[in-house]
Amino acid sequence: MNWLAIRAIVRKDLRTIVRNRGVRIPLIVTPVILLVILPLVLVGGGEFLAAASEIPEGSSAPFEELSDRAATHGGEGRDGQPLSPQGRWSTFVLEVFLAPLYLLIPLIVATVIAADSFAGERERGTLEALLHTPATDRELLAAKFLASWFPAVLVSTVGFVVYATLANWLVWSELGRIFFPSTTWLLLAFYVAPALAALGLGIMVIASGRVNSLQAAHQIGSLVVLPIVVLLIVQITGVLLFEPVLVTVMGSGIWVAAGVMLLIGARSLKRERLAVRL
Amino acid sequence: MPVIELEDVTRRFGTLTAVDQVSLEVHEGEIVGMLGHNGAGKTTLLRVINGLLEPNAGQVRVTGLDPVRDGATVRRRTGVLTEYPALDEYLTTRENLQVYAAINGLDVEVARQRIALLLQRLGLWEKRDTVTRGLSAGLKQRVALARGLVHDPEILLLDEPTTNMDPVAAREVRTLIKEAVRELGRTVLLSTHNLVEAEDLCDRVGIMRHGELLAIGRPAELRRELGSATGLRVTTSHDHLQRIAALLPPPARVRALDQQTAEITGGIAVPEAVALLVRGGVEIHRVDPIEPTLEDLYVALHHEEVMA
Repeated sequence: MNWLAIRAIVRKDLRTIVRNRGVRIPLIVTPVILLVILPLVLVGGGEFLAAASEIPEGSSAPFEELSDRAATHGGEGRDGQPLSPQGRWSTFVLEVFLAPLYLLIPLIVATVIAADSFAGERERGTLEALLHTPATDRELLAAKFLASWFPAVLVSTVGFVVYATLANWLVWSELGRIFFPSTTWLLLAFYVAPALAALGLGIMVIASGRVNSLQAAHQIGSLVVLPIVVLLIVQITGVLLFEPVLVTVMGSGIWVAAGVMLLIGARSLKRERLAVRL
Repeated sequence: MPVIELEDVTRRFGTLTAVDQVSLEVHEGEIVGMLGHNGAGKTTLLRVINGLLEPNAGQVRVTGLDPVRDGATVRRRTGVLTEYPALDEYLTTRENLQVYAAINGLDVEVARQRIALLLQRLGLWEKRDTVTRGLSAGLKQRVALARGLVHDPEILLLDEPTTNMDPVAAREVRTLIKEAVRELGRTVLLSTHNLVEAEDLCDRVGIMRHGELLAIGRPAELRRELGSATGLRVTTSHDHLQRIAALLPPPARVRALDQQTAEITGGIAVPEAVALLVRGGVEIHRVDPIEPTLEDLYVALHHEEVMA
């Protein structure tokens, strides 16, 4: 492997990401909405939902299921006192409810960049110039993978640090201690998120061999996030709770799936196949 | 040994035969041009030569190597100008060249010097730190050419090298290509539909149509072998000059070039025209057949196809 060539392509792609507003904006806006605005809104709405939890059993109150789950969540507050309903709601939202949504970030970032990196490069015509270089198919794949995976992991990690700070600040008055991140969240951030970024990339590499336009690539990228929506429903209804063992198993499964997807993708990322579609 | 060698090379895309049994040899230091309409197979031919596309039949050798099996080595020896500049438009001119210098394995200092030289030679020095999306079409084409030359390749594969360029820039690029060949011994295979460019630049010219290589040779040879004179110039006395038009049947056209010379065109064969004039009593001092241009040949070859 010619790592100098790989580095040159990665640097080229990273510069394009940083300077291309169409790519840069989703990378900033998505984490800000999911990890800053949404927690502020949901925790701020805690009072309303705490009140909702007081509604007698059998009623059709909105958010009833959520508030029931929140009412049984959380540990002790200040000085060993039980948490108030609002405190329980806040820690539930921050620890449980937003966990699946956090997983959207590595997926969205990876697919947005990968779409631009593969289909975008073809659409702009720059792919042909790259195919005419001595870089081998494996070097091209490695460079394209790293140029998408690094930013996805970086944005997810920065988002996680910002979220952790915000989460602790939001419930400081209730808990009086640092409660976040939990083991589950550490696993999500440093084991599952990189795996999801790799999985999203693997899918986009396969898709890139079959689509010609950036728009089509984005459409496939948007489908990739659907399983996360299912995870969100499963998590908030309590069918399946994110716990360390489950998250470890899930992360391992995703790493395996990512590896399989990348192997299949590597087969489709052949010079000949790409050149035919130029 | 030829630098580029193709033997009965065919490349198909589904039912479309883009390159059809093309045989071609390009020798070191030669500039060979492939002429043809859009869709004639020129670009596919260049992609086959550089190992991007595998031929369905036939053999390709570039410096004795198989471009599919030894693709990386072949592509290190070739520099390509693609049909459209297709630059990384969020990068500056210099950054575009740096990327391709690094991919081609150039040492940083060597790359710096080479890039500076190319920027100056191609009139891009002032635009070296300009993001390329802000450049004119002609300047982009020059940056793309510099990108193809950055690793100082032995062979240049140029797809429409002067498209989008103004006449002055196009002439500079042609000069640069000639210099690369004459001074550095490089070999050039270019595709073009600019006949003037082909005639000016190329040692040999091939004419392609529907993937087939119809003819290849030096422009003068092609004219001799494939074309017949498109007319003639007759020098006679002033008095006799006036009678020429009346002696030749339509569709012959006669135009006086000066007091003693007439140009006869319109498809009449030279011997027939001379015989008619002599029979009519015209005193002929001199006859010069008008050689067909490359454009005449090109049009004639394509016309044959249309008629067939």
